[in-house]
Amino acid sequence: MTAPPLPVISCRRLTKSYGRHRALSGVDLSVAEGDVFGFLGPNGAGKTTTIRVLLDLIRRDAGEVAVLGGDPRRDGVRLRRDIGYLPGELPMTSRRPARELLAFLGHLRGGVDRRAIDALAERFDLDLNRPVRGLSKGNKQKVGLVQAFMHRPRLLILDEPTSGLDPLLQQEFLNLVREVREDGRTVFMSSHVLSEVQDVADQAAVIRAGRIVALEDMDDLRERALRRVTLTFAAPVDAEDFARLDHVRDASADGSTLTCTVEGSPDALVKAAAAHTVLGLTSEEPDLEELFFTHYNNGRGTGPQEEGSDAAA
Amino acid sequence: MLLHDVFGRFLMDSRRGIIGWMIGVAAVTALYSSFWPSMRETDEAMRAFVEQMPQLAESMGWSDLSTAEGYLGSTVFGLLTPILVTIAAIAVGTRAVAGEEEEGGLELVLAHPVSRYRVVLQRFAALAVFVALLGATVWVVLVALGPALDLDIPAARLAAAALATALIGFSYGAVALAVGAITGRRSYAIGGAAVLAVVGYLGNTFALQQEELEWLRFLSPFYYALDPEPLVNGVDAGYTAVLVAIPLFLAALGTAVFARRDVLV
Repeated sequence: MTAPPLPVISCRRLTKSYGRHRALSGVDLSVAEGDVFGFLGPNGAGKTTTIRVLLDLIRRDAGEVAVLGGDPRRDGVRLRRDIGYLPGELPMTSRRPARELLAFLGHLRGGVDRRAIDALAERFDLDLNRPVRGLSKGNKQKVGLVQAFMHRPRLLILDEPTSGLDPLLQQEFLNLVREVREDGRTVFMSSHVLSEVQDVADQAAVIRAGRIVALEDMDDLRERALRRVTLTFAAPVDAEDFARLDHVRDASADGSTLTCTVEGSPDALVKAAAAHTVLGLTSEEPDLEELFFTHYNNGRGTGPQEEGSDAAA
Repeated sequence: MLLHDVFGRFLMDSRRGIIGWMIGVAAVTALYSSFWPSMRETDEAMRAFVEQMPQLAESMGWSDLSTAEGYLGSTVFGLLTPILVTIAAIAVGTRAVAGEEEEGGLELVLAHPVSRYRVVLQRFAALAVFVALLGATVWVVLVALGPALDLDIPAARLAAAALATALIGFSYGAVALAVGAITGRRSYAIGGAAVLAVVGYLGNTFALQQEELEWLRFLSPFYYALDPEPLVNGVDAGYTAVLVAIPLFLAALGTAVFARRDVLV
């Protein structure tokens, strides 16, 4: 008999105010074990406040919060043992080398294998012998990532993890996130935009004005995603042959060039095209971001752009 | 293992500042104590000045400049090193919580499996070590220069005076640390500690001239440190206990509030 796994993070009606400013007004959130969860929203929407409540840096006013089966208020120290955290801001003013900072942080966790630190530093091409104070923003971010991953935590909470990383390192970071998921560990990462997390996330939620306004399963979203496909053939083709195919819409032919929109899987289109000699094929990346917001705008009636004014109220 | 923990890390990160303050305190101590031989020669003129303006002289602690104890007690130990050590301790006490909190550095540490108590109390211990190093610097300089300057004060008495100096700084550093731990604001920590230090110093000084202000002395660590004249009488157990109790009380208060409040907001 196996009970459904408890969520690694769950918040119910979580509220928090700073004086008269209401930062969180009833956040409901549930993150399943082994998932990569994208936590999206503009600046000031409540992303960082939510994350800090999870880590017990900030104490909630009301609502229920459970992280790894415990309450951060009561079991903060124990829970943080199993959490790796990357803050949104990493000041790092010490003149001591990065290796020393990481050794210190590892000591706070009761010791971390030095080889794990070296391996991560190598992956991110980070020189551990340089003083952290002089590091560029990107290199500081790498130090932050190393300390978050080095003790192989059950739960990773990453606040804007890809900011400051160049595209190559963003890919390396995403690979690392995939490995964590393959281990059955959980990643909760925030971002301004969906495109930064869409390749790895299983779920994504949008927070605005202190409330969750959208929650999507990323596989469902990808299924619904539209992509523009252009095929160039050796000889002119008839658009009608393609217009009837599954998932294909708006097919039009201009001589030997066919353009169409594919919703979901392009399988039928590719098989039909294979009957001809194909000279070229281009497929635009689906704009999940647009789809994501379109979907929830239809459901809610408020667009992501107009919300700013309610936030202050 | 404490050296690898928050305590050691804080001292390690502050070590340039620590060394800088030690050099500064050593230089001031050496400079002013080395005036003593020439001071002794102008003994007559000084005595005449003190007789003409006894109140001013007394309030500045110059009532007895004819002995090495009197001279050092009113210059090095009565004014210069307590103020330097106090400024240094306020700087370190401010950084210990509020400074790092405003900078954002505290966030990373507190996101680790450490309690708030552990962080604040270890930084408080680091502050204690810092003022102890500054007190030890004063003592080492005076013991080293003593024979050359003909001070003729036993090393134990110098140690008692250096301890008193360090404890003045410790008290105000603890004020800065506690105010920072309670409010999270660097400006309140520095401002609160600096105002109390000025009030404490002036309170101890002017209370000597104005009887109705005498109660001010009892709020002043300067009074508990300097009034027993440690250069003459050695360590005064009761007053020293007060000077140790003040920072301990402040640390307990600051830690208790810090453990309960939101950080980084």
